[in-house]
Amino acid sequence: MATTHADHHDDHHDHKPSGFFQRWVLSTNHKDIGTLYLVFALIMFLVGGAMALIIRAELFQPGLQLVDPEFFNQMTTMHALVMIFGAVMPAFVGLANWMVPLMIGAPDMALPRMNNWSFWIMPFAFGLLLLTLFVPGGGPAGGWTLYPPLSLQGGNNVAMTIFAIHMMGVSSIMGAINIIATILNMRAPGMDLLKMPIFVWAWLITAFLLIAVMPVLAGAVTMLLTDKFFLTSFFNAAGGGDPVMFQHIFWFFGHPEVYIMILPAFGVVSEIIPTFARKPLFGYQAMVYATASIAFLSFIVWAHHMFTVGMPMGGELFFMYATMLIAVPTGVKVFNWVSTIWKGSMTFETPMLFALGFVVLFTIGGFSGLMLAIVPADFQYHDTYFVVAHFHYVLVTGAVFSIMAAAYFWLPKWTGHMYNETLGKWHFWLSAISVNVLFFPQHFLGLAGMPRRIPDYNVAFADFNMISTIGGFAFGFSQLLFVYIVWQTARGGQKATAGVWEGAKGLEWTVPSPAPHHTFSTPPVIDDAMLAHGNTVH
Amino acid sequence: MNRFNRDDGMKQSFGIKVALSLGLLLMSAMAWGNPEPWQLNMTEGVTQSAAEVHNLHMIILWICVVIGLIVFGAMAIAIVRFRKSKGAVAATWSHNTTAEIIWTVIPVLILLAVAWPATSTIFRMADTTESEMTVKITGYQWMWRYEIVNYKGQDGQLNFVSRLDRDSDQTRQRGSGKNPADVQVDGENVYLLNVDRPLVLPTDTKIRFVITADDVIHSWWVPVLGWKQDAIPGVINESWTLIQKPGVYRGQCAELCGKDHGFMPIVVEAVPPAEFEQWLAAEQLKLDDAARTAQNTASGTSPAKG
Amino acid sequence: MRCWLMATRFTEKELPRSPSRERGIKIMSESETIQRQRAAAMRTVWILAGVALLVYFGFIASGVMAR
Repeated sequence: MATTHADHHDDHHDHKPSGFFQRWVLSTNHKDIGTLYLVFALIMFLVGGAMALIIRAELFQPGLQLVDPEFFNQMTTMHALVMIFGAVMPAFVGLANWMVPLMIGAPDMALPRMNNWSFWIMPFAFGLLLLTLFVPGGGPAGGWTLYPPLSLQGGNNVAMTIFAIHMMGVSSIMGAINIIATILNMRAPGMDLLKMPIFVWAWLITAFLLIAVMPVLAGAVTMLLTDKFFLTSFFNAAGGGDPVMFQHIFWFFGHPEVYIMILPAFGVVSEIIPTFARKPLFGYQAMVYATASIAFLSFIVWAHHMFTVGMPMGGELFFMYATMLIAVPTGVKVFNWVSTIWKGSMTFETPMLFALGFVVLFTIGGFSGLMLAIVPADFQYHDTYFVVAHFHYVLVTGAVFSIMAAAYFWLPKWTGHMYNETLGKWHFWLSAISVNVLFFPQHFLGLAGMPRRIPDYNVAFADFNMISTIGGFAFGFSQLLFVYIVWQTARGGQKATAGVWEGAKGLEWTVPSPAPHHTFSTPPVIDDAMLAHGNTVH
Repeated sequence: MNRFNRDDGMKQSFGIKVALSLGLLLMSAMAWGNPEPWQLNMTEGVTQSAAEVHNLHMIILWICVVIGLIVFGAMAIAIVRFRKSKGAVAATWSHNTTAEIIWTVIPVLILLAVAWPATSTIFRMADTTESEMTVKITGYQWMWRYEIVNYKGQDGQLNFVSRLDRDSDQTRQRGSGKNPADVQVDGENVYLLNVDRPLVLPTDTKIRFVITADDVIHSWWVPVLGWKQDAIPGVINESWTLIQKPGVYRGQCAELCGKDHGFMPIVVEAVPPAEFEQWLAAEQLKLDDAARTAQNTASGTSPAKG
Repeated sequence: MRCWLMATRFTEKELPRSPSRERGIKIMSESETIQRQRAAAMRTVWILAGVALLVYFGFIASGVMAR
């Protein structure tokens, strides 16, 4: 696609800041900050993955072979904290940073300097968190959910973990503020809200969720901190408090949090599938409303993480009905994706493989989620490997697959080079098969009665644990291929055009590949035909 | 064979793989007792509650299977038929309000159909009234304490601690050199699922549990009874059960509670009421003997309970 | 607020500016449309920051009142 005149001018002056420190530490450029987030997320993904492999290695056979139970609990806790706050969330923020301004025709985020701070808090936060593994007492070992009183039995790690979480929260909140301010105020003239790319819609809604719930987590861990060090008794029954109140506050954050981790994934997949099906997204407006409904509903279902806590029956009933209800807009989205590919003209490059894999496997995760919503059944599923299987399906084959899909989809735009398609396909198939070997058997383990967060188990659980571990190692090593592909693409490869993909539509595909350091320094003139959703006759 | 055949072949066989696995789930022999190797499905249990729970589980599972087959089937067909390499030309339509309404309303109706039986089961499981005995369960790091508070109107006078059995405990130490497969009782492997003093309970008796903890949150779970309940310090939770079949039933703590969370199992020995009363009487006698001995050896001190 | 101002002074005046930083700052401060947009964006920012703080202190307050 032809570049606009303004960007043709940019080409001649596409100077990036000189010097590593200037360019990366002091960056106020949304593309570079996006890259920083993505690289950080990839490193954290490998760190969290290594922890997972320690867990799976210990669970390979019954008996304790490799680690002590205390360290095992640190691994399960840290694996989750690293993956959620260090890998998935920063990766989506990185994608938002790179793509949102490009998609709406803005020159950068609304507050570029705050954007820089949002990123640079993260390495410090994670440095602090990972440092807990090396202090006396070790890292936090009470689960990423930090339930008191157990989490308060920790030593030095309690304060360090809480400060790290505060820092991550501030980073997320500032980032979310930036995103909303950018989307609401900095769209190029003519880019109406209901003409925006659906990835932008997904992030707009996600950003509202972030602002609503990250402060709740901050409040909850602040109360943990004061309970531990400043003689309060928010969660201590002996002092008149209530351990269950923590769970309510935590999950009021925690449930929207998981939607924060999946709505951008929905956005990514909704960009990729129409591109490779060469057909517009089916039901764009319905998709926007479904996303907003899911976000709204996510606020009123939190106690489904607490069905065994001893809630009054009325509470159990309400939360069961509300949770079941979320299946409806989610189902609408799945049906719309299928309708998009129906009567399309598909090709199956790597982004499309990951996107289609997402639809199938995320749906499986959604099914186990629907099963978990049924309260009496949940009495048998809760705190077992059935839950572990559920959330890994929605987070790994869901969120992570969508991030990889996005990486393959947009790498040519970011780097100017096509990635190696053969290697990409290998990465997909190795991952898709191994991830199912890893997590599908965990449904059976949970149904058979294996609890979560245990380092050792009865021999009846041995067979599926062994299979799961084999899948885990295969999946883990397959990701090294992804690292290689990304690195190789950044360094060189077949030159990419501005449009990159035949079916790609949107402002981001009108700028050259690689995208110049500064784009849309004057707002582009929007022609509805270049947008994916330019005709709002939906 | 061009590369696209591999793609759709894998997609179709994946759908088949999912269907087969779930089918196996349905047809597999379900354990009614304790976990079995290669077990695929939830236990039907030994109580009415467990049976209802299993039923709900199967209903929602089947619904998901059917919807999955429809959705994945449609995807498989689309992936085969609507490929550019086969010359498919993309349609241009991109919305259909009627379709959106249909696939919003039908799922709501399906959910209503499931919510109905689920609601009545919740009602039944919450009703602890008219129970014939009360057992108090207290979770500790890392063991359980059981107290027969009262049985058929009489004080139970029994209070004891139940810990992981010694054989399992020695075997699970890192570098013990012992094999978990060797920890057996009557030919059944009970590694990490056995205790030194089981909770003996009568069958065919409505038993009410009051559950709490002393330090951190634990959770008391015996799968064949059909429920678990969190044991929370400062909170007393209520549950009930009515065991229909005698047997030895094993469970585990189901809430992370520290380093030995995986090593504080539960064993319930369900016996006919007559046998239970004999056991209870014998235990109470042992306590009285112990109390008398204590009184004789330590002059002036009153006999301690439990 | 003070930190923000200090950081502004630090990056604006104390460190050398590369041509690209100059251009970035120029883009964001000179195009009229973009200037207007950024002014509106600042309003959004303050509102959202206020919401975040309200939620944070509100939940802690609810924790206090629940006891």
